[in-house]
Amino acid sequence: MILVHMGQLAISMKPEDVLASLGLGSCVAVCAYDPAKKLAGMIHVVLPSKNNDKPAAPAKFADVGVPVLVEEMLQQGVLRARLKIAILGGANVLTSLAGNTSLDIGTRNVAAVRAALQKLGLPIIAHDVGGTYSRTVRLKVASGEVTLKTLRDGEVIAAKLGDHHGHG
Amino acid sequence: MTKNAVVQENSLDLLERVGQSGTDKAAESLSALSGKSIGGFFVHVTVLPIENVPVLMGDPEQTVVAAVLEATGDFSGCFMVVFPLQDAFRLIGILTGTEGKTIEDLGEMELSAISEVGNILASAYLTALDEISGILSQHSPPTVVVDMAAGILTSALLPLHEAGSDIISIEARFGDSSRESWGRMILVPNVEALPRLLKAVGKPKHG
Repeated sequence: MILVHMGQLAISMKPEDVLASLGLGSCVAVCAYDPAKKLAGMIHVVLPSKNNDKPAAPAKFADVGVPVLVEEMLQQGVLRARLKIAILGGANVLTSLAGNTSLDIGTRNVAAVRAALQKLGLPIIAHDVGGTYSRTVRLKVASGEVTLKTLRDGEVIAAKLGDHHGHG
Repeated sequence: MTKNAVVQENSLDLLERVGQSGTDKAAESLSALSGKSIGGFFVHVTVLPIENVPVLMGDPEQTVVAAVLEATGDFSGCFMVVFPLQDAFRLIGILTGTEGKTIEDLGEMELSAISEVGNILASAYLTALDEISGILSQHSPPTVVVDMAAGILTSALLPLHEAGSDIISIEARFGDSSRESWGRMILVPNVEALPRLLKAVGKPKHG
């Protein structure tokens, strides 16, 4: 298993690999998959946008991280039109403190990820965002299957990015 | 050089005194609340870069029970008390006599006990901070959350993340003669508050 920590980006073509972001609260995992090449990528977004020039982890910010993920995958020979995207996370775990809007980063993270993907013309084919609960997200390189684990429901299949949906 | 280098040795000394004194005060209040003799054992205090936060409780997916409070005043930010689920049950058991096992056993009474613990611990440590460093602050009522450790911790800390700030973590155990509960008190100063806090604790009142 390849752990994708806060602000990190991981890409793999090894069928035995699983990319995972553990215990996402307001953070967002962006999963990208090319079913033809069986190439998987994941970023663990922490904040919506980069507002200064300080050095930062490649995928810490949605506005910078999403294009970097897509670019890195294109460099591996992925065709943009084949990329399947799923986004999960962006919860508001500390609901009652959310009156303090600076804490509602989950909602802002999801909006920023959506905007960045839209800018690149990439549709989101599956999502599980918002709510008040933490999530663990896993992406299997061999199949493109995305699983979602929560305290309440355990681990379930959230998306099958390996399916071709007849558009191939 | 790491950011932690800004935390002078004497600051850590003072934070240790805050940890010790806060733990003593908390044990006293918990004893008064429950009518039992509850001991408090201060383990240690650490100042950590925020990147370490998801694994602060060990496994990031571990189920924890947290009481989160907002602090205002000289120390403004977030005060959090975090117990692994089984430690939370032991503490509830010590206080109420009933000890649950699974998350379904966390009813209204159990959550309200944790809320009270959050109140007591926040008051104890923030009072200790005031007595030792002259940093006076108040706190809000607690919000109790049960979820994966990383989700709760990062959600409370992310407003700080942009500044790459540090957090203060105090480890302590509370127990009676038969069982013990381990938890972490996490002080999360706002971006503006941390330098002020470290500066203040670095200058003892009677030093």
